[in-house]
Amino acid sequence: MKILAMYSIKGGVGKTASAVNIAYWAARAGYRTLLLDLDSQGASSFYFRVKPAASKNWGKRFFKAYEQVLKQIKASDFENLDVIPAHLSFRNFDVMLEQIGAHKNRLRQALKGLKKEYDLVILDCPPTISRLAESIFKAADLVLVPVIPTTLSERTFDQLADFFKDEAYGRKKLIPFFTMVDSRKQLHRETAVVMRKRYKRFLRNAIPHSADVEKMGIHRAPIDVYAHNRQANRAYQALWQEIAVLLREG
Amino acid sequence: MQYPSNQSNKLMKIRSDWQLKEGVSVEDLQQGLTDDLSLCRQESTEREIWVLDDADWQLWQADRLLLREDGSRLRLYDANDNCLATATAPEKSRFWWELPAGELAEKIRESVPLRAFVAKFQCRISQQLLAVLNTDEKTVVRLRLFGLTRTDGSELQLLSLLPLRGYRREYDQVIALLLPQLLVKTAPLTLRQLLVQAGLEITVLPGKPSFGLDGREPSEEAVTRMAAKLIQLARHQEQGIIEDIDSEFVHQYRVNIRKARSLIALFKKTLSQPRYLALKGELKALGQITNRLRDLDVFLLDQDHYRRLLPDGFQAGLDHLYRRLRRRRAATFKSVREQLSTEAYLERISNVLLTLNRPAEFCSAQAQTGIRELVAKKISIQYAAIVRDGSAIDEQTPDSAVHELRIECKKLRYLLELFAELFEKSLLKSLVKQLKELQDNLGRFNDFSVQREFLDQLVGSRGSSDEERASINGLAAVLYNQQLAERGQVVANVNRFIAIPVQENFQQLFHSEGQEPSEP
Repeated sequence: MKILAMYSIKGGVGKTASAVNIAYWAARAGYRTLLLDLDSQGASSFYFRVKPAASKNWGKRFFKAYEQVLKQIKASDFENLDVIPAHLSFRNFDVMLEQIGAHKNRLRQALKGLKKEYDLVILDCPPTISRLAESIFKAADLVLVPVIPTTLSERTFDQLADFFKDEAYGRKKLIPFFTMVDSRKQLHRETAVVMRKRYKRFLRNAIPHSADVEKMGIHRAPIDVYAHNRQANRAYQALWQEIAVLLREG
Repeated sequence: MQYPSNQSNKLMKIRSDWQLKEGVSVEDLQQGLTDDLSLCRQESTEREIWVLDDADWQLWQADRLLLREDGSRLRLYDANDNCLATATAPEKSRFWWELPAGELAEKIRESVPLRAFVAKFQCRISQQLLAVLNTDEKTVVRLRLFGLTRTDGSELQLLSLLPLRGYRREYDQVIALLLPQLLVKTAPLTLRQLLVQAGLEITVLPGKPSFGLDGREPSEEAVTRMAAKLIQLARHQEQGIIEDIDSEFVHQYRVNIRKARSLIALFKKTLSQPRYLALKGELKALGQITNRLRDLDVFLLDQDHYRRLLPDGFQAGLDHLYRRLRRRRAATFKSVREQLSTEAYLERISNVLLTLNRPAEFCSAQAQTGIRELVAKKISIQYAAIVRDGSAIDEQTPDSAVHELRIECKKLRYLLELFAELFEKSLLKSLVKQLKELQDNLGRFNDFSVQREFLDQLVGSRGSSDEERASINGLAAVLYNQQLAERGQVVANVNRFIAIPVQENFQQLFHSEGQEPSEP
């Protein structure tokens, strides 16, 4: 079983859209996939129309027992794809982790129990650098980072890369890719060229800035369901294929 | 018939399957649900299905299901409806070797190496996939609605309810709501189950007949009863022979006749002289009808094997030879078919059965002996004869003695197998296994002789070309060498079978117990 984290320090970069569409294509490719929505402000669960069960503060138990995790799993409408919906109590993860003095390996251990049922766990992460984020960096085989090719995003990514270096998380895990690319903008084109030179592990396929991605909120479904032949859909499919190669190699 | 199934095995145990009450429609199902649940029609299919299998339902029994759909599409499924292989083949294809080379052909060969698969059952199945949606339009339960047209023309509706992970409450709710439309629970609606619901019945004759023997039954009665049953079993093959479905019908027919003949010969002392002679003559005549046809079938079935034995230069000759043999087989088959349909044949069969069914005459002491006691004695004697003849065989012994030994072994095999139900199973099984190893060796040795004789006849017959004769002679030479190799193993195999431990086993199983009546 592989663990793939979709992570960004910045919000609004297409992180959740990427988690949803990559999870969708992974499931289509035959990976038994679990999308774990850890971002209570995000909307992975919303896009799959999945709601959390009424349960008090299960976030605490999440780190304690695998059985509790299983109870939260919900089938999506797509074959091979299950979802653990975001829960409000996730907001307090950081606080909780501090309180119980959780070890950074805790998350990985908790997820290990899922390996009988799933080939791939995708974590849609909250946009913070925190205790939880550190657990995620430790747990994940790959940390995918959506980056809009702008100067500000470049600086944010530099920070993350430095953080990985300082904390020795294994910089090889860190895989950036471009999202919301508008090729008509000179800034986008130039930043992309510079960043690809500086970071060799950038994925080749980029996600274009597209109304089809934004419409996910209306359709509440992966793009393939309502815009099969559109460029954004093909971009996600191609991006998944690149990721699949990395998963097989790892 | 795959369906999204992102659910663990535990969930599949919760699924439930039902027969619907008559005339229930999708609208009725929708109306049964509450306002916060709606029914969404998804994919629907309708298929005309033919179930293909061989005479003994060997595919079905191996948990395989071969279907012909939409005319020429063949699909092989496992017991869980997973499609294992597909191929497109014309309707007349009946053997694995007539299918396009590939996975389907290979998989069918595994279960049905020799037999023809034929259309056994036909049925129409319609399937409507339905999703129960909540107010978010999220699927919470999946439904599969099946419509079947039974063999008698009546219609039947069946419904599978499939839970989705995390939506157990909704699943229970949906069942409760639909209950008024549901008639009765059924087994999980796999393809196999649907076919059974549509009226498919599997009738299989047991491979090895059971005679329901009582060890104390007087031998004359037991033997004649068993022979009659074997003749009946042979008769079950007649229709398949006449329709020329596959070569196994002739083979099974002959096996049963031969067993009956052997039985009568082995126990001739339990019968009056006139009864024995009558049966002997009639059974011999019955066996002869198919002799030539079987020889030709065997040679034709082994075609690929023979082709591999000869280099390329001889293949053209083999082409001629096989063309000629196929013509000859067609003619021979025609004559067999005619014979099986004649009054004379039917009269002969009924004569045999009448003779066997006559009340016991008890002309000898043996006739009244309990069958178990007599069989045990016979087996001991038969084995002793094999030990005696076998120890006389060395590398120089003439072939005729080896053939004699083969025939004695075959008699022992029949005794052990026909009367197996009278003796302790596990020990008997191991003896049969050891005997089989020897028999296989002797059998191959004999087969090479038979094949060479068969080739000799062909060389001598009119109408063979030089090319063909060269191939036949080449084949004969290869077969001769193989026969020598087989002969080289005979002594070791015989010695293994007559070794002291095996002798002790026979002693244990058949000697001391010979006197005791069996407990059924």
